[in-house]
Amino acid sequence: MPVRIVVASAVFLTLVGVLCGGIWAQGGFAAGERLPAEPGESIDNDLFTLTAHEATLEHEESFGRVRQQVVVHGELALHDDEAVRSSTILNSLLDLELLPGGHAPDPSAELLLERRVEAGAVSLVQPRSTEDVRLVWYVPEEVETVDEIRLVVQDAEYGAGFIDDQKRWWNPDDTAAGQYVLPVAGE
Amino acid sequence: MAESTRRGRGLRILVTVLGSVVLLVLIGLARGLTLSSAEQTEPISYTGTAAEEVDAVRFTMDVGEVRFADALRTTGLRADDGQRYEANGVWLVVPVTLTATTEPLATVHTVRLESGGHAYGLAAEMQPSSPPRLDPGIPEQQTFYFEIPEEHLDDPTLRVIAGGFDARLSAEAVVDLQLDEQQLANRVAEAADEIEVEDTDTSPDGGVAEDQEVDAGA
Repeated sequence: MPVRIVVASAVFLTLVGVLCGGIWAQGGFAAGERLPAEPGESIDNDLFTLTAHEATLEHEESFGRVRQQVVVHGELALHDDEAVRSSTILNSLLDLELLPGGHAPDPSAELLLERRVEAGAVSLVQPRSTEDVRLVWYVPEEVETVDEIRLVVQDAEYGAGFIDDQKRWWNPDDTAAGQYVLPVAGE
Repeated sequence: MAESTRRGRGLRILVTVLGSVVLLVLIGLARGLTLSSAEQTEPISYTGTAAEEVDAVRFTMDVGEVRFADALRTTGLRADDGQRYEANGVWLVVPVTLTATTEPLATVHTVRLESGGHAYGLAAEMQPSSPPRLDPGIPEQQTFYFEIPEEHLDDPTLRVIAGGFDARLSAEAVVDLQLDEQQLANRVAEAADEIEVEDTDTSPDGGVAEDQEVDAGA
């Protein structure tokens, strides 16, 4: 009888040890630094799936003023049954950083449908739609060079906040679903 | 004698336990009926059909004849004048007349076309800009453009929220367009090849074209 207990304990302890060792080797339970997704890979949260293909630097002239813009070309698929404001996606759920330097772009970002670029920015993304899109951010005047961009896709949750108790899509825990680091091709 | 008292006591305990369980369930149900603060401030909804004028107290809405088209063509002073936009599905062109009743309405907060379990928003980029507010008693004609995939065309209902700073405590008109499956199929089959987008006003600050966003933070 004691022999059996000893054997059983040994087997149990070995199993536990192997399990702990395995988890330790994988980096433990803490969320690891995720590698940036490759262009063409998808990143999804509860609201949408974004597949960014490439980023370009373009010039837009309006009213005699030339502004530089970073344009991310990709595919956006919405998972919600209700139309969602483009500004929710652009301002609350995507984060752009201009590299090198780590500058933030101007707050006025735009979303255009590839099949309807001439019509200008769209203010709503339609329910369950999958569209080829252009995501446009304006480069602040003081930023001289943009070689790369870091595009962080935030996690999305539908719910109410503490101060604003209206239900909406937002990122309450400030966690990222994934990110791209894309080289910026010039004109 | 002792046997029957014991049975009586057992019965009393049973009745007490069952009674308590029933009361607990009732309390639970009653608590479930409590409105959350978000629910207490939801827009107040008034329903009707396209055949009549719907009175949402703070405004009235009259839906005209809905037209269907395969494409829209822009005209007038738009930068994309003369451009043809094919629908991914079909375009629904919905003329409405909105009239504020007692006080000016600064914003039309939300316009949605609910169809086949999906809530579509305006194709705002097609929307002619519109007067920034509705004044009481003066009917404002608007045309709403929606792009709907054909497979999601089912029992379309127009939902318009207007009246407040944001959607909270606003008035909401919900209008059944009264198009059944057969009628929808016919209308899609007979859809116009092209409809010209109206260009009534070119001021950049449209009232209905874009939803108002109020961001009060967390």
